Amino acid sequence: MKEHRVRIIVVTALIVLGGYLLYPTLRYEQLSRQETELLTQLSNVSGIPAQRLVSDIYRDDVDLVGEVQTSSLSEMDKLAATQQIEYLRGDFAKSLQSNRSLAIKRGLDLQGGMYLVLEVDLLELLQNSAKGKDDQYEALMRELTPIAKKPDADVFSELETVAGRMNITLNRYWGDAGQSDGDIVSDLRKTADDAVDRSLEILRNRVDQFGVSEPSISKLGTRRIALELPGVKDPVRARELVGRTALLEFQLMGETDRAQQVLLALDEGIRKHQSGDTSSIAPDTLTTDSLAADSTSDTTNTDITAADTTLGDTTGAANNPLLSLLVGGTGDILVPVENRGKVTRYLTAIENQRYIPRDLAFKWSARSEKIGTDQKEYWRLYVLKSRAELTGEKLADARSTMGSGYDPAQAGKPVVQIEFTREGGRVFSRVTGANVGKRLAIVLDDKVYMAPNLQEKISGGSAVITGLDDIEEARDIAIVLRAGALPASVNVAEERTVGPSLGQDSVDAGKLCLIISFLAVILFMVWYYRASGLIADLAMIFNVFLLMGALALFQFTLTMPGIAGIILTIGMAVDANVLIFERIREELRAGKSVRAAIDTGFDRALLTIIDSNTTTAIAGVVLLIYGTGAIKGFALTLTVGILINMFTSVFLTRLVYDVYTSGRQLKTLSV
Amino acid sequence: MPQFFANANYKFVQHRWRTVTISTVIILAGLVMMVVKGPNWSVDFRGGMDMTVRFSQTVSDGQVRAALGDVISGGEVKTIGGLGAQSDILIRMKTSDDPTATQRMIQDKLTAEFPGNKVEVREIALVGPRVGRELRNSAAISAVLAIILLLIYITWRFRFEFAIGGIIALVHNVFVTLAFVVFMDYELSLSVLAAFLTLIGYSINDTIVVFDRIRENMKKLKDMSLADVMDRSINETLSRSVITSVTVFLSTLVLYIFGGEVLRGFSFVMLVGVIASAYATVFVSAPVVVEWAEKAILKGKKK
Repeated sequence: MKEHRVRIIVVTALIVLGGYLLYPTLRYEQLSRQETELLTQLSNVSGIPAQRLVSDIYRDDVDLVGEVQTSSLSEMDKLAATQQIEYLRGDFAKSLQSNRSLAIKRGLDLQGGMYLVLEVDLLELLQNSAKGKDDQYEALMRELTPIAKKPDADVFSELETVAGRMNITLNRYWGDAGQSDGDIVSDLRKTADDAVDRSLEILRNRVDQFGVSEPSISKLGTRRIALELPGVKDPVRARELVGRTALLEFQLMGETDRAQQVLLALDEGIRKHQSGDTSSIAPDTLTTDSLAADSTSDTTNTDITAADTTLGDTTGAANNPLLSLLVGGTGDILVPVENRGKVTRYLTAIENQRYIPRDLAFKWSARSEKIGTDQKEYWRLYVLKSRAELTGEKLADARSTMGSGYDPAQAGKPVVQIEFTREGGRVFSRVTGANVGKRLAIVLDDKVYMAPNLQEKISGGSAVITGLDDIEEARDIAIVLRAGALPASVNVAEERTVGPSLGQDSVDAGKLCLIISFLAVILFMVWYYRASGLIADLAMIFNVFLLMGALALFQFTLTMPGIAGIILTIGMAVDANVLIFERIREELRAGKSVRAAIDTGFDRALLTIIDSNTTTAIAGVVLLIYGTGAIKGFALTLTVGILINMFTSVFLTRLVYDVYTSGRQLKTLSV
Repeated sequence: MPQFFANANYKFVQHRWRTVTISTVIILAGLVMMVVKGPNWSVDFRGGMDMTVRFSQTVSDGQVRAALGDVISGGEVKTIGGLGAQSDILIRMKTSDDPTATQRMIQDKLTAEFPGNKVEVREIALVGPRVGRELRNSAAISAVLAIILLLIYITWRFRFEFAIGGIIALVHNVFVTLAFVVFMDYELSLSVLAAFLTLIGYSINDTIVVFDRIRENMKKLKDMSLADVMDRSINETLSRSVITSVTVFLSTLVLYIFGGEVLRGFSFVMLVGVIASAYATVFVSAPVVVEWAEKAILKGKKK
C-alpha cells in the first residue's frame, strides 16, 4: 500500500475538495425549499398574500413589520408574524445569501427570466443632434436610412460616404461637433459611446427599481447592452419598462385652422398622387372653403355623444383618400381603429412630408377609446407643435398614486404625480400662463396621454398624468420618469425569455436524464466488463462529481445545454476505460500475466486516449470561444468534462487496479 | 463475460465502394431535399420572434389562430410538445417592427378571447436580423476553424493523408446527420448547431482510435499491405468502437426521450450522429485513406 500513498492522498483530497465546493449548492437548495415553507407559514399568520411576500420580503423600501403592526390581527399573531419577518430578513437571509454566492449558478433558462440585448438607435441619435434641418437634410436622411438599417452597417462611416456622394458638408448640420467631415464623424462616434454608457446607467436605475433579485446589466461590444433579469413574472411588462425611451414632452396643440389646412393639403396631395397627377400644390394656396368637417371646438372634456360624421366628402375614398378615414366629433380628430394603419402610412410616406410643415407634428393618443352611443373604438390623432415647451429633463420626482378630487379623469384612477425642478417649475408656470385657453399635450414616447385645456397659470411646480390603464402602468411610468429618458430609443436586438414553469420543467427533465443516463451506462458497463466495469463507473461518477465541483469553484452558470453536456460526458467518460479494458483483454488473450496485461494495457491506451480526447477538446474550445449564451454553457461542461475525464479514467482506475493487484498473484482479472 | 467481435476478421477495405455508395445516396438525397425545401432555419438564424404560451385548459392551434386574427399577419401558430407533457402553442412571427407592442397585443388578445383560461408565457425568443446574421457568421467560423485545427492536429500526430481521411469521415457524418435532420424536418437552431459541432469533436475522436491502431500496426507489420493493416486495425478496435457508441447512444437516447422540447433537436442530431459516426469509423474513414494515401505512403516507405 505504501507505494500508492501519494496517489491515495491526491484522490482523497479531491473528494474532500469536491464535497467542500458542492456543499453550498446543496445547502442553498435546502434553504430555498425552507424559504417557501416559511413564507407560506408567514402568509397564513399575517394574512399577507404569499405572492406579495415572495416579491417584497427582502426589500428595504417595504415596511412589512409596520404593515403587520397596523393590521387587524390579534396581538399574538402580530408578535409571531413580526418575529418571523425579522428572522427571515435577518439570520435566514444572511445564510441564504452566503450559500447562494457560492452555489452553482443557474442559468436563466433553468430559473426562468429574461435575457435582453438592446441596441441604441444611432440613427436617431444622429438626428437628435442635428441642427438647422432643411430639405437637403431630409434628402440626406432618406438616402441614409435604408443603408444604415442594413446588418453590419456602420452608421457614421455611411453618413460620411452618403454625404460625400450628395455633396453635403456635415458641418451644416453638426457644426458643433467640428469643422471637417472627419472631425465631425469621430466626434459623433464619441457621442454615441457616451450615449451607450448613459443608457446603461439609466437602464440600471430602472432595473434596480423593478424589483427582481440580482439583475445584471453589462455592455456587449461597444454599442449593445445586455440585461439579465432572473425571475421576471410578467415578461411583456418588463420589456415595456426596459425598452421605452421615457421621453416626456409638453407640447402645445397646433391651432385648429392650421391643422385643418394641413389635413386638407395632405388629402389633396394624396389624391393627386394616387391619380397620377404630379403637379404639387403648396399648402398655402389652399383655402379652408372645402373643409367639410363639423365645427371643431377646443375642448375635449365635453362628452362626445355622436362621432359618426366623416370629415371628408361623403363621395368617399377616391375624392378624399385621407379625410374619409377620419371622423370629426365635437373635439379631437378621431380615427376608427381599423383605419389607423392606413392613416399612419399616409402620414409617414416620404412623398407626403412636403405637406406637413416642419413646426407641426402628428401624434397618436396613448390608447384607443370606445366613444359614442354605439361604443365604437377610436384612436385620437393630435396635431401638435413640434417644439416641446418642457421635457422630462426638468423633472425632480415622479410617483404613482390613486388620484383624488372631483375631476372624473383622476378621482379613484391611477395617476402619476410629477414634480418639476425649480427651473422646470418656472418654465411650466410661464408656459401655462402664456397659453391660457389653449391645450397642452403631455406626450410620453410620442404618445399623447392627455391634452387638457389650460384654464389658468399653474405655478405649483407639479403636474398629474392621467389616462393610464392600471396602477402597474402608473408605477412603471413613475420608475422610468425618475430614472430619466434614454438619449435615443433602444431596439431589442435579441431576447430570450423563459417562463418560471418552463425553467422548472427543464430542471426536472435534467435531473431525470441524469439519473436514467447514469443507470443505463452503469448497468451496461457492469454487464460487459463485470468488476472492471464497476471501476469505470466509479471513475465516471467521480468525473461528474469533480465537474460539478469545478462549476461551483469557477462560478460557472449551469444552463440546460450545460446539463446536456454533463449527460453526454457520462456516455463519453467511459470511453477511455473501454479503450484500456479492450487493450487489457487483448493482452490477456495474447497470454500475458494479469499484472503485465494491466501495465501494457494502460501504457498502450494512454496515447490513444490523449489523441482522441484532444480532438474532442479542440471542438469544445472552438465552441467556447465562438459560441454565444447557452452554447457556451454546453461547450464549457463538455470541455471541462473531457479534461477531468482524462484524469479520472487514467489516474483513478489505475490506482484502483494497482491497489487491488498489489501483493497478490492474480490468475484472472474480471475485465 | 460478453465479448463482441472476439476474433473479427472482416474485409472492410475490399467492400469500401458499396458502403461509400450507401452514404453518398443518403447525403445526396438530403442535399436535394434541402435545396428543394430550403433550409428550415430557426428564429436564431432567421430573425423574428417565437412566443410559446401555455393555456391552463388545452386550446387548439386553430382556435388561437382565429383569436389572434390579423395581429399576427404573416405569422404562424402551431401546437408543439405533448410527448407525455402538456402541449404548448407556438406563435411565430417572421419579422416584427415593434416587438414590445406585438407581445402586448398577443397577450391582451389571448387573455380577452379565452376568458377564464389562464395564459402563461412559457418562452420568448426574439432575434433581430442583425443578430441572426452575426450568429450565422460565427457558426460558420467556428465550424471552419474547428476543422482546420483538427487537420493541423492530426497531421502533426499522424500524417496528412490520415487527416484528410478523418476530415472526410467527419464531413460525411455531418452531412448524413443533416440529411436526417432535413428528412425529419427539425429546425436548424443554435442548439442544433452546437450538436453538430459536438458531433465533429466526437466523430473525429472515434476515427482517431482506429488511426492510432493503424499507426501502431504499420510499425509492427511492415510487410503487410496497407489495406490489410487497415482491415486488421479496424477489426481489432471493433469492439471498442461498438461499446463506446453504445454508451454514448444510451446517454443521448435518454436525452432525446426525457430531455424535453428544449433539447429535442439537439439530442436528435447526436443520436443520428453517433450511429453515422460508428458507421463512418468502420466503413468510411480508413478505406478512404487507403484510396487517397496508398501511393503516398508506399513512396514514403521506399525512401
